[in-house]
Amino acid sequence: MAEIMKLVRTYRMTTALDQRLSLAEELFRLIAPELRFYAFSAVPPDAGDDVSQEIFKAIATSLKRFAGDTLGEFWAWCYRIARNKISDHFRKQSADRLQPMPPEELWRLIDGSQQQSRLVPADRLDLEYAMQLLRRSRPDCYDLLWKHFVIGLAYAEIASEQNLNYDNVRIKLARCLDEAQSLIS
Amino acid sequence: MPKNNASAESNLQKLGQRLRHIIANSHPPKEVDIQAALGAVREEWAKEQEVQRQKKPALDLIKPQEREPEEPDDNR
Repeated sequence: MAEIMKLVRTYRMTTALDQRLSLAEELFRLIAPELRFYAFSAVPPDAGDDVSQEIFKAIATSLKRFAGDTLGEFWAWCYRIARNKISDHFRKQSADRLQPMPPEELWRLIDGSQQQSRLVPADRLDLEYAMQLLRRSRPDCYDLLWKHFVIGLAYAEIASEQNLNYDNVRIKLARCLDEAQSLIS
Repeated sequence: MPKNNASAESNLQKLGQRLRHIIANSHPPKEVDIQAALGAVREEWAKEQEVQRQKKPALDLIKPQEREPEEPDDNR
């Protein structure tokens, strides 16, 4: 992951086109899987490719102007661009705002994937438990648990997205987790 | 059976890993995505060159007598 920041810093200082292209190619091969996961978890599968491509183009366009200096800042910046592109997609579709993947869709994906790689019973139980936690959560808690634990967004990224402070997000997440668990047990 | 927070967190993270794996297999990154990003890099570079080109003639147009006199050389 340190490799990502090295590429970003070098890209910002580079003026030659061929060097920029080679740095950008290496960088996008590293960040593409996470950003595609983020896009595909937020938009219908048939729109995932187009939205991912828009995200990559927007990041490439602004990369020279990215002002941060840490990996955390870089990912937060990438996710901000991704969120904007996902929102643009929903605006064009006149659909609802950005929502996490609904539980039924999640389980359908997991069940469907069993044909390629079967889950061992213990893992299946763990995933069922995780699904129950999400299902029992209030919508605002579902959103937080999904973003932090499933997508992997840091507290700071969620705080910036929802205009909350870091500690509010941390405390709210802990409460949401406790609440969901208490509803299961 | 009730679980503690740590295992609830780890189960949710496991769900994330499983979904990453599923999405990476069912929708793998495509060459066209990378090429689209590289296309945007080329466009940005061309815009920068254009801005540089527009700045340069403006500097060249300043007549030599309008330029500020050079500082005298200390060695002279």
